[in-house]
Amino acid sequence: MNFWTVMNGVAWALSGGLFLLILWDFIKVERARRAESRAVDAADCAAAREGAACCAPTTASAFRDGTAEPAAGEEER
Amino acid sequence: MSQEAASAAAPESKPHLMKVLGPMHIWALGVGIVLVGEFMGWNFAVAKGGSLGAIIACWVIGLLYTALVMVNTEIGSVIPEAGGQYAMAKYLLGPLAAFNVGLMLVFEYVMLEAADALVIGELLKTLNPAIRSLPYVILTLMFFTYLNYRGVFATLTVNFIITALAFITIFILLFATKFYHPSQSLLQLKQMTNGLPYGLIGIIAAFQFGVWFFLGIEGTALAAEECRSIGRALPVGALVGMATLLIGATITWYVCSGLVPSAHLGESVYPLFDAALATHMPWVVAALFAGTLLSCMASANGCITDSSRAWFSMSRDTLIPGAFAAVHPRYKTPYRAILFLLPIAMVFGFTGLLDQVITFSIFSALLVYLLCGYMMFKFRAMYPLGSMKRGYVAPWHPFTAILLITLALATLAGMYFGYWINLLAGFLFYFIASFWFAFHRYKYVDYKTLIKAGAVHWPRPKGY
Repeated sequence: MNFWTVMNGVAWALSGGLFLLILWDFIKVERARRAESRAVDAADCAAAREGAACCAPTTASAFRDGTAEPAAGEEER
Repeated sequence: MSQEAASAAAPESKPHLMKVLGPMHIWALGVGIVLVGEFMGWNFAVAKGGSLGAIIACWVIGLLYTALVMVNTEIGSVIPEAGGQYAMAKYLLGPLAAFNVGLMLVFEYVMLEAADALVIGELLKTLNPAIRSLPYVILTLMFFTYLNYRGVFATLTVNFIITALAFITIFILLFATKFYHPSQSLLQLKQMTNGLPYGLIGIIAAFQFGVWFFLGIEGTALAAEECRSIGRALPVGALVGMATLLIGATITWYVCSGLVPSAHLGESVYPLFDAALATHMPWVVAALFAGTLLSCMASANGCITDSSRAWFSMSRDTLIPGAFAAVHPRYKTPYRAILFLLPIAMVFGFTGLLDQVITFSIFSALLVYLLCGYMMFKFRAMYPLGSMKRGYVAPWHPFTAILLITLALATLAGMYFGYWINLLAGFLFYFIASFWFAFHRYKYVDYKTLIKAGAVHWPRPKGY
């Protein structure tokens, strides 16, 4: 095994390390985002407890979450 | 919360990128993407149009890009958003054209990024037969994706350093030839060049390779939203970048044409590196090897920045699914857009079809240039001079826009000679994408959200 063969392995290892770093941060951010979105929805539900049932994510929370796709039965704006 | 209230709240909660960039970063973004074209690719113009045809194509295409930068800078200096030509199109041409321009920009830069990574792998393989290109292709893409993920300021500061180092290596080669001393000069322009063997048609055929000298400089406008002062950073960065490229392109042609015989230059994979080999100076060879590598890295890095901004902007404006509009809470980067485009670049990198990948990139860019020329007419008609404050006013309108459209059409005609199947396939791809947008996605587009920023900052357009 010569130097360059080892360097090929080093390049793979570095790529894998970077991938894991990005993945770890991505999962962390997405979890935090989801938790925040749930908290906002829960607050919205509490505010609207007097009125109609409200448990699906609102358009506002979807925008905060960055996932403003139409929910089931909801027309997207 | 009612739907009306939610949609009213939505624009305020639209994600925004951090304003941290100055003219230096804009220069690094534009020149960084393009500089690789001086280290490779442009020289195929010599095979099509001869030595003289190549330099004529370089200067004519330089005119095209100067006109493009002027047009982009004038319109871009009043648009306070990421997205560059895409953002311009959404205000001036409407959602369908904006969708197409955005898609063209994304493919222009993703393809270029894949090509850069491929070249880095191939270049490293020349060091030793035991080196495999794939781990280095993947490592390059992963490293610059990580850098972009972590923040635009660090990304473009790194790009400034590696672009400047790569640019300096061209001057190292120039001065190593002792061009300033006629009796000791290594340059033999008369013996090495072959003039204009195919006449005017050769020049037109050479246009598509002359594009390599400048392809991607328009990407400066994509970082508009992240500039501390758009009115200053964008014109200064883009115009100084264009001047840098014109100087670099002319020196590159001069040195390569004087050191490498035209027959070999027209087929060379790394023309500047081959020119360095012709000097027989090991330190110049080492410098140009490093320069070629650095230019590819700078280009890949800038392409990730630009493609992700275009994708992010389209998502934020509801032209594509909204999931990609998220901004990283800590680094303030469009992290989902950055990560989404990574596997696409990798897939094209795996194909190994460098010329096909690059041709689609150039084709997409030329379509954007055509639309930019048209947008300039609309912009001046909708917002005549004096109706709004501009950071920059393009001189000689409408001549600039006419020149841009004419030269973009001539370059497309030149491409047709060698790559007509690619051209047809490209048109078909954008037609199918338009079809999907018009018949499926269009119903989700919120027009008020789409033009909200412009409606707040701009006066009512003339005639509306």
